[in-house]
Amino acid sequence: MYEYIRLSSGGWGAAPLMPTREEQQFANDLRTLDARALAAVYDQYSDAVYKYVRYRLGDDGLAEDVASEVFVSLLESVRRGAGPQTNVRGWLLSTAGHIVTDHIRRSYRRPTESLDDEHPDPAPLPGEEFESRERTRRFRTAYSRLTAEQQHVLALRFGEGYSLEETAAVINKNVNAVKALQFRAMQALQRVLGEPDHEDA
Amino acid sequence: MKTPDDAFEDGLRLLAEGKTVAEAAAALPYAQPEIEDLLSIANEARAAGGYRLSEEASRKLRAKFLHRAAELRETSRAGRHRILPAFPRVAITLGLVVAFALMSTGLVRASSGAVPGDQLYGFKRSWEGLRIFLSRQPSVQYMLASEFEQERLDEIDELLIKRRSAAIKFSGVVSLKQDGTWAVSGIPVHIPSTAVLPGSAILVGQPVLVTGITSPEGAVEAQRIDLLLPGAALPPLAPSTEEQQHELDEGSEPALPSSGADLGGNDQPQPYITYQFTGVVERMGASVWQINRQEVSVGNATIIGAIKVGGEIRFEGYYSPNGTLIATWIEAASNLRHDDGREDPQQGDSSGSDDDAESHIDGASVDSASSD
Repeated sequence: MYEYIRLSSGGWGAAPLMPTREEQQFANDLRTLDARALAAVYDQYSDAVYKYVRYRLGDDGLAEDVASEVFVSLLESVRRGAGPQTNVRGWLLSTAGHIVTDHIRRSYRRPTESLDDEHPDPAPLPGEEFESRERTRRFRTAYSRLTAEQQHVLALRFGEGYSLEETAAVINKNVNAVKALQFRAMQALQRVLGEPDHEDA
Repeated sequence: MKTPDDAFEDGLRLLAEGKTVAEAAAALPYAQPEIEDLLSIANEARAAGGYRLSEEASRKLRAKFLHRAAELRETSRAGRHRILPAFPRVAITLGLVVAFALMSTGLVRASSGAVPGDQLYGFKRSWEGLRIFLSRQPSVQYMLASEFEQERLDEIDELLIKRRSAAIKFSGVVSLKQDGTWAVSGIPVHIPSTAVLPGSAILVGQPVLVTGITSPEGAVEAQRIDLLLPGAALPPLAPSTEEQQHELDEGSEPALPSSGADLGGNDQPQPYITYQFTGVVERMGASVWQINRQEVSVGNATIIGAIKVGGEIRFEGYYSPNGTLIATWIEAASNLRHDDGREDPQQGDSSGSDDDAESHIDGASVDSASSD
C-alpha cells in the first residue's frame, strides 16, 4: 500500500516524498516516543528540515534553532496524539513552513540589526567569488520580499529539489496550482531583481 | 499552446538535463523573450540552497531532541501520579506500605531491573526513596543512598550498552578529564560547549552530580555538572558485601573506624559504609596513594604484603563526609591468590602484624569481595 513511488516530472534529483513502508513505520514508531525510534526519525529527516529552513531564513544559527523547534513540535504533537499519520517528511516540512513564517512575522515586529551591515568582511574577496556572493545576496533579498507561500514553494522546489508532485503533496495543492504559484513567484523575483535598488526597498 | 508556467517547467527540465540557460531558452522559442531571464533566476534560486547541517550542530540538535523526548516521557508518567503530592507525608507512607504489603514483593522484584525510560522505573525510585525515608538512623540512610547511587551507575551502564537514550542524573567522582570527555565513576561523559558547569574548575578526584542524557554513541551527553557538597552520598567502587547488606537489613549501626573521624577532618564520629575495592597502585606518597586514578588516603591503613607502584591490590575503605576515600586495610593481590595455604615469599615485608591482618580479613569478608 505504501510502496515507494518516484514521481519524476520536473525534479532536480529530488528525494522521495510519497509514503513508503519505512515512512509508515517511522510514523507508527513515533507514537511510542521510544528513544531509538526517535533517533532514527531525526537521522532520517534532520537534513531535509535544516535545508528547508536554511533556505527560507538564509542564516545558519537561526536555521539550527528553528530546525530544533520543528523537531520539538513533532514530539509535542505526538504526545497530544496528533502528529504525522503516514507522511513524516511532509508533516515536518509543512510544520517547518509554519514555524519559519511565524518567526519572520515576529522578527518584523521586533527588528534586529544585522551584524554584517556594520562589520563588513575586512579582506576583499577575489572577483569571481565576490560576484557570486553578491548575486546570492541580491537573490536572498529579493526572495525575502515574496509571500510566505511563494517562499515555501521555491524552498521546496529549489532548496529541497522536489518535483512538482512532491511539492504539491507537501503544500496540499494540485500540481497545476503549484506550477502557477511557482511561476508567479519567479515573476515576482524577476520584478524585484529588476528594480535598480531593490535592496533598499 | 503551452502556458508560460508549462514552458518554464520545460525549461527547468532542460536545465536539469545539463543544458545551459541559453541552450534551454533557445529550445523554447515560443516562450521568448521572458524565459531566458526566468531560467537565470531559477539557477540562482538553486545556487542559494544546498546547505547541510554540520556534524557538530547535528549532534547538538539530536541530543536536544532526544533529551526533550526523555523529558516528555518522564512528564507523561509523572502526570499520571499528579494527585499524590496533595496527600500528607504520613498518609502517603502508610498507603505505600499497605500497597507494598498487599502486592508482596512481586512489583519490587519486577522493577528492580528497570532503567530510566522504563515503565516501572518510577516505582523503583519511589521504593528506594521509601527505604531511605523509613530508615531512622542517619548512618543507614547514608549507606542506602550510597548503594542507590551505585544502582544509578549500573542503570547507566545498561543504557549505554543497549544504546538507549534517556534522561539521567548520577553522582560520582571525576577520574579523568580529556578533550571534553570525562570519566565519572567509570561512566564516560561528553561535555559539550552548551553544558552548564560550576564557576570553579572541577578537578580530577572531585565528587560531582551529572545531569544529562545517555546517547546511543555510548556516552552520557552532559547538560549540567554540579559539585557535590561534603557528605553527599557517593557510589562505592564495588558493590556492597553480603555482610553490609545484612547490616542494612537489620538496621544495625556499623562500627566506626578509629581513624575515620580524624581523616575526615571532623572530631565527631561520622556514619560511614565500608567498601572493598580492587585496583592498581599508580603513585605512592607518604599518606596518599593514587589507585585507579583516585587519590586514596592510606595514613592509617593496615598494609599487608609488599606493595609497589604498578602492583595490583585489594583494599577496604570508606568515603569521609568530604568525599575523600580513606583506606583502612590494603593487601597485595598476590597475597590473596595464595589463600590455599602457601606462604607468599614477600609476606615478610608486610607493614602490619599478622594478628591485625587476620582480624581485618575476617571482618571484611574477603571471600565475598573476591567473588564480586
